[in-house]
Amino acid sequence: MTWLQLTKAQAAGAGLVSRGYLKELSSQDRLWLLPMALAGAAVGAGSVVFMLLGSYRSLMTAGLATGYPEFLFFNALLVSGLFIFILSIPSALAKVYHSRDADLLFSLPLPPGRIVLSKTALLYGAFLPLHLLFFLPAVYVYLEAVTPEPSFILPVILQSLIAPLAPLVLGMTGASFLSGGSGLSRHRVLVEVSGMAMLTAALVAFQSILSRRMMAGMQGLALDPESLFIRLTTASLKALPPLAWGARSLTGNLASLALSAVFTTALTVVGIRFQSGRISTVLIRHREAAFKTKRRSGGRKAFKPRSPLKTLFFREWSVLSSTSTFLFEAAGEALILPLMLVIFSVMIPREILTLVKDSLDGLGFKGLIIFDLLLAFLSINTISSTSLSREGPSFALALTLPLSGRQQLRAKLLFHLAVFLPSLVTDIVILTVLLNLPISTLIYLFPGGFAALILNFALTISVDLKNPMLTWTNPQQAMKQNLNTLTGLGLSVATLILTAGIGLGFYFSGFSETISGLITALILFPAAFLFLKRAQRLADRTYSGVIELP
Amino acid sequence: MIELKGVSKTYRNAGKPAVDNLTLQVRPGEIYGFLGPNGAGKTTTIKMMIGLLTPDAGSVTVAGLDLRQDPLAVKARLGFVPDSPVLYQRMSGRRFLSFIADAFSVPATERGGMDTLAGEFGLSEVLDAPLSSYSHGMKQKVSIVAALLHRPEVYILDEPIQGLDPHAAFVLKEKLKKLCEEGKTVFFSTHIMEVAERLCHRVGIINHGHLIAEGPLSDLRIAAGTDDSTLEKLFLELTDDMAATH
Repeated sequence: MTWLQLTKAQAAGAGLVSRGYLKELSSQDRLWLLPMALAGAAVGAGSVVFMLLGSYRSLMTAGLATGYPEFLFFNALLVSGLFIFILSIPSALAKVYHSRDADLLFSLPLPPGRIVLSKTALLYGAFLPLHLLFFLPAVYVYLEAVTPEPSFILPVILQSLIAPLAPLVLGMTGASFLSGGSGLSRHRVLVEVSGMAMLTAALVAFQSILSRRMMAGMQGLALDPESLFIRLTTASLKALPPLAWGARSLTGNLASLALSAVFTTALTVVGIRFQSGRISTVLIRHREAAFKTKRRSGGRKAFKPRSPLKTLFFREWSVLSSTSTFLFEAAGEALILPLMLVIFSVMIPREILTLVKDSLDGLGFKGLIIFDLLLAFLSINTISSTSLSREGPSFALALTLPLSGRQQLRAKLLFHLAVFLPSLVTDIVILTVLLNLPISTLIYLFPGGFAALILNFALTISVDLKNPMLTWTNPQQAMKQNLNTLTGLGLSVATLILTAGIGLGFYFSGFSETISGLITALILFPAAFLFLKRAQRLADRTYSGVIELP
Repeated sequence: MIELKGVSKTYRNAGKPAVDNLTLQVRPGEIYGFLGPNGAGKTTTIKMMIGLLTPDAGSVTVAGLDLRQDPLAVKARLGFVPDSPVLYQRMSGRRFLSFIADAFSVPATERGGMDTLAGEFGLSEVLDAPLSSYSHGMKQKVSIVAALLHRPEVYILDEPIQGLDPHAAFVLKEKLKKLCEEGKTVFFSTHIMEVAERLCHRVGIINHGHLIAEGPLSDLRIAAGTDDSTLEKLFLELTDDMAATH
């Protein structure tokens, strides 16, 4: 079997849009999800390209002004390379070093090198569109400013195809080191969460630079040649020769073109050969580490008995922490307000933020707006609308326990509160301090927020109680690609609009801001109670075996 | 005891019923072997017996309690081993067994049985390692220990021998015999005819959702008109006949 046949087989078996996956979607009447997902991706890519074009125009002007025509390509290749490098580490961990098919592949009469090559090809296929997303707009902007020779097409094709290889191979090599350390391989979830955190930080930084550069580009302003950004990029051009060769190859430098191609090929070959020699050892070390963990662990005493409610509560944590996807999603949702504030403070100029604050102060109902904002941040979550789905096949176990649907629901509610009550308190403190809210607003912010948490839980978990998605193979399917998430968010938004309408309705009918907020909070309590009762009935029904388990 | 009366189940998007008007009874102190080819309706029947599926028609009674009327009381009296182990992978074996003990409200004084059972099935050394690191056979052992832990009245086991090493298979068979002597009810499905032949007081053979034969092996031999037929031969004859009529 050649490496290409092996790659094709893996793509057919585990690719995102394989024929088998399409058949599965079709049998679940969810084929319509695909065009929706594609449309979403197109809109996302379109908005990034729009921002990139603005930013790149500004960079092109700066490059020409400073005597570095390769300036634009250098930045495009740098950003693309950074993203691919960061993303390829968790991807290589998941698809190469902790892949489910590793045992199967290594039992076949294939040399490790061929397996590594096929895995590299698979990852390359996944990252190529990302590279093109960053690279092609740079080509477009360059063509706007310069009329190159017809031979320009050669380096464009070459850099379109080979540029992702170096960061990919470096990322995969990094993953092999991470995975090879026995300590780190046992903390895979932590490594993956760290990777995702790094990616988010990179995205925030990138978005911040983009939005600022885009504004400059749109206003026809060139970057100040003495600015820190320009000085840093100019220094990086000298410090990172391979990237500089790649960038210069696009501005007609044939020697750079040859150097770039030779360097990338050499690095790819060395990287693949290095991993080929190492992968068997790493996988064996994994198996030995698992064996050692088992052998080392005897002799502990029994745990103290817990009440069924307490034990179900901790079961929720065990399920949530079982994959990095679940953990990262939950952490992001619980910390959304502080994270957004950090992002805004980086991306939006201070003057605009002050202007927003002053406008809020000018309104007579600042507290009510903040109340709605708080409820919005608490409602944007997928924790309860995917609570049963996350359990996957182990949901069957919950049905065999002598515990009612109500008990299961109570534990899930407690867990929801354990995750989001600290967020409620933190968010209120942050908003009160940042926006100088009067203490009187706390009278309705705390109780209203608490009731909204329960209402949101009851509404969104009902969606999952009716039709949990238990047959996922990739944790993303249980949360982000779960239709229950979308339905839950829709319900949350509807509730939010209704709540805002009630509060503002009372205010504009002549009630004071505090009384309007208080009445809204008081209305939320019976609503939460009623929907919780409904969720209890649904839970009793679901946990009595009405769902056709796979 | 276990009693199924006229139980039927048809899955959504399926033309034929998976289980059709099934009636059977397992008495206390009896080991009942449930046999049938793949897709015959064994697992569907078991899922209805433990409350994982609701029958479209008929009733299920376990330990004298109607499953539909009193599902939690029934589950409290049941020990269930699924055909493939369903466990929380991030928990250690000990934490998982404690979770089961907590869910079944096993008193602290009776939890010493956990270590004893784990020792008998060769799990002592690995009990504090995460379940994700266990082999299939070890996970199956944890499933079995979890079912035995709260000392229920009725045991329902779906292919329990599958994946077990000979030592654990032997321990399980001895356990089942002992439980039966104590007056407990044991119902299990298997593909291993030899185990059914040696262990079961009665067997039931299901095919295409129908119970096509039931009784002690000696009665089945008489019904088939052979004195020396093995259960395997009887099974093949009965299921082949059925296949021919379908």
